[in-house]
Amino acid sequence: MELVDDRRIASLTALSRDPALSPFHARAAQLPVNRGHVEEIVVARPDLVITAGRAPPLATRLLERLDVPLLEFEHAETFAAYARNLVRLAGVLGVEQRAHTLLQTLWRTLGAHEPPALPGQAPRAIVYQPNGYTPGTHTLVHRVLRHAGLRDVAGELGLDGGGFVSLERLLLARPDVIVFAGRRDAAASLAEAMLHHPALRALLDGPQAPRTVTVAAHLWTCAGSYAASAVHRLGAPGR
Amino acid sequence: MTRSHAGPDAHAADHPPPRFGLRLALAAVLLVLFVAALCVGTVTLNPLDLPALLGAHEEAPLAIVVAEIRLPRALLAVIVGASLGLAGAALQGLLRNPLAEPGIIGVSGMAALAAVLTFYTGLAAASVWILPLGGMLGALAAVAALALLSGRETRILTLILAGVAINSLAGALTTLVLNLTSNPFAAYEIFFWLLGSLANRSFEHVFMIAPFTVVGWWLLLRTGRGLDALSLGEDTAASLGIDTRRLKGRVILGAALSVGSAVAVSGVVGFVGLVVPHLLRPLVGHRPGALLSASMLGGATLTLAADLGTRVPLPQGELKLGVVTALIGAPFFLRLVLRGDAR
Repeated sequence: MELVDDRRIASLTALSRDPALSPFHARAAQLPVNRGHVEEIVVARPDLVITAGRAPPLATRLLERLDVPLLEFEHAETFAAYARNLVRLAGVLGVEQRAHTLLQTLWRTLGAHEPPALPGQAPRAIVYQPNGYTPGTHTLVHRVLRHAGLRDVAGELGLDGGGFVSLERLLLARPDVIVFAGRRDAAASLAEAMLHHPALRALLDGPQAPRTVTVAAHLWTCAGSYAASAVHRLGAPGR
Repeated sequence: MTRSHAGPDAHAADHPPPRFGLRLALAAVLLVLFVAALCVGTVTLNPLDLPALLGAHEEAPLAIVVAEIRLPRALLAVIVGASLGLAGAALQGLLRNPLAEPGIIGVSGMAALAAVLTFYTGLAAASVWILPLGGMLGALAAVAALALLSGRETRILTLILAGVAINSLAGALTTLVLNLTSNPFAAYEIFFWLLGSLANRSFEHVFMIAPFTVVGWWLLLRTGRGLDALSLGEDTAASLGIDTRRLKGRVILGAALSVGSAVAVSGVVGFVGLVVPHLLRPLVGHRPGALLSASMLGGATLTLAADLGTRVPLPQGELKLGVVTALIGAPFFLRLVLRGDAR
């Protein structure tokens, strides 16, 4: 969606309309969406099908028979991987210049392709989502934290892909910064109510309270040039 | 060990049974487990450090962990377990069947369904009392339906099967409601409501259910004499001056209040009301009345022990409380059925 205008989009994943996940949810609301079923893809009559990860074998065979090219992308967990994906897709779509401009802006904002080494006294941050979910060190979120000059507590807790951190572990980890991601409606689910637990409130109201930041989850759920604004939001620009 | 507290008659065969000794022993175990519940977790504490931590009014993270996370959680385990044990014993006395357990006969399931309806529709946000009230209404509906069934000369098997049907329906509807809820996290919370948990509970939940629970306990604990008489048959009970309709009403209301409010904050924790009375029955001389307070203590002890069992560190969060109680309880249930106790 960063590369082309709406006329060239036959159908999007339905997830693109979810405000919690997609920075393009407003645009996506105006466009056709699919839930990944083969029937929907056939009806949309695309000239090209793009998937995140491997397409299911049944869909692959069907698209071959219909002579529709299929482009499979690895989920990008680093900005470098995102850049590779973007350049590859732009090549197929014939919009190399657009991709070049996007990436130039991104690298300028981040300061470097890879996050810098952080000094030992850099503040320690933990991303704390509903249910106590914390993305791990193999995720884009970890990269964003480091680009923002924050040490990721997920590493200390041994989380690679991510995992659930109990309130006890959160409190005892003594982070300098707690990053909430998106919604925290206590009345809507037990997962979100957990973020209003009296123990967490006591910590945040206490004398040794960590700094808190809220970063909309859609800024870093998937890699994109927009993820640079998550770095900004965390308070310390990359360089 | 327990008999030494039971007075001079304790050694005379099994009569009278060592009732106070049993309760004292249960209370002692409960106390030890309670201290353990405050000490065990991400960081394990020395029990001798507890008073200083709880007494200090500083906001050190460890003090917050003990005072705001572990303490309310342990209290809730005691309250929920006591309610389940007590209600199990009372229902078994009333229905004269050892299989009558809040989880098996659908009382907990209906309470969970009603609690889910109030929570995920946003009703519960209006007042703290709505969530436990929902749970109690759900429980009341299930107990009342079963009691109505048992009023006529219904066979016990029919009664239990009706309970099983109510339970399945409640579980299915709970799942349906959570699947239909637009909140992205709700679907994952099916596990909480159907398997029970005390994770992330706080003093808000303790205070939320305390008034209803206390009234429920009071109602149930006063049914001892009536249940003893009822064990001799309804006619005999009536001739002993027991108003069986009043007795039934009291058990129904007491079970609905205590179990309904418990489920509203902990989800369905199964098997406690089954295992505990079953284990303790021989120790109180098979008297339903004496079983009540013993089961209350036993239920609290078992639930607190099971909740300690959930704290085994797992990469994807912790075990659900209902999983641990089912691992303990299901084999008991099977044994009960196979031995033919559940006539």
